[in-house]
Amino acid sequence: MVFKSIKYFIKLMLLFLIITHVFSCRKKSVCEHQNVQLNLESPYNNWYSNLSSNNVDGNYFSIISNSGLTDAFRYEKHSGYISDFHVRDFFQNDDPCTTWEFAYIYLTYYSNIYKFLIDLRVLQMNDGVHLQINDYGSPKYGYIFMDYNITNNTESNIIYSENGKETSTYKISVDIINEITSNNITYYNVYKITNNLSLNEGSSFDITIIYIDKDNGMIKFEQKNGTIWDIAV
Amino acid sequence: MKFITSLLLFIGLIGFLLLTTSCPKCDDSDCIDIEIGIAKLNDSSSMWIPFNSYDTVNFINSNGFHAQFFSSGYQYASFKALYRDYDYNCGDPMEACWEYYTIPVKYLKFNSESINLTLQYEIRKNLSYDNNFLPNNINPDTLSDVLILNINGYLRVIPIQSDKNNTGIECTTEIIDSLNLNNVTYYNVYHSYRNIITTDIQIKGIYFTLDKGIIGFYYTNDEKWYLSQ
Repeated sequence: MVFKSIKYFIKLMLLFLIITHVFSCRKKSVCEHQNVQLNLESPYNNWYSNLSSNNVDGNYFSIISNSGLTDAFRYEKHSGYISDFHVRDFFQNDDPCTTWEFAYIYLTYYSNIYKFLIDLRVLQMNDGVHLQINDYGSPKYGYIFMDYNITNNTESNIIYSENGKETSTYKISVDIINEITSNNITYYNVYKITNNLSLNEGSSFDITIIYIDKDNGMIKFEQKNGTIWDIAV
Repeated sequence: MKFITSLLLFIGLIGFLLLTTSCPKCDDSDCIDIEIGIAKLNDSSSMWIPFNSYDTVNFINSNGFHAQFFSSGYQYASFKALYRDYDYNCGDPMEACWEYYTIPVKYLKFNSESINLTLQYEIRKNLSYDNNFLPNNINPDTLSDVLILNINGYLRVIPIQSDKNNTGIECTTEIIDSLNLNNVTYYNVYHSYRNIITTDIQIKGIYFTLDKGIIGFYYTNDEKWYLSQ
């Protein structure tokens, strides 16, 4: 009786092994996994080149407002690759056989006194180069994410946190300003990013406009209450 | 068949013995902390926040920026501190592991609609949050209080009923006989500051009087803020 049960058990195990093997083979034949690493294309691989990546305490800029306020921005610069998993909020990977790694250059700014916390990212994706902005210091929303595809000139809907992550009906607006002065320095061909969510529905301290220079990062920004801050790059 | 039954019984017996005779588990998460008292604030400390619940103050900075600040009513909080008498037995999961005092905190915040700056007054016991174990021979009622001035996270301390700052918040506090700020002379001014040597911009020091509260503060870049009428 015991031997009969053991034989029956062994037969079952063999059948199980054969089935799992067949299925695993079929999967292999359909999907050969590949990892695709995308580098930042020129000239974006040279963005923010005037800022140091030596992230020490000494990295900061004074910021001065048109209303007579002062503060300091500490900043950090990082570059590397980010996996598609980490950008799943805005990247749909339809190919289960492929994982992506996207090159980025990242700038994080945080202010000492008035609690601004912003990061800028230039990111190579499979549909082009993106300019992305995270505003973590929004008094109203806490967190705002903005995305602009530079290559295709397309602005995405703004994502913000209110009750979890929400997608706004507002998009950002992107304009290229031929010439602009900040802290007595003139910059050319500057990206002006307007956050239409904050502009229309934000609180008075929310940041509504950010000016980005490709060599120097953020050079100027505006709050909804009309305060304009020059960054002493 | 009889052999298999005996084998199963034997395995079950071993399992039962292992479960019942294993080392006692001593897990802090099972403990229930017991409050043994409230380290009350001294009655006289309240006067160190010289405001009603809903007051207004005005400040102007050395660059001419003017801001009005509104208080939003007194708020109260408490935290557990002054731990002592840890119970190491940990045998009975319902048994207390720590005894602690409840520490009340009283505070008043002023916010402005024109600047993202909060002025906060906070009164609590003169002790560090980090190292707050209380020797058995100390009565918490004998501990002094402190006034903590908090401007957007920059903390400065004025000890009350004591000369020492035991909060662990790094700063120096001195009393100035008289001080002229923006053409107003103040007397018996508490000056609490941190000796920050930096070219970076941070809040460095705060001036305070018992009858007006914060009368001024200044940054490392010499920007100054004055109480205005």
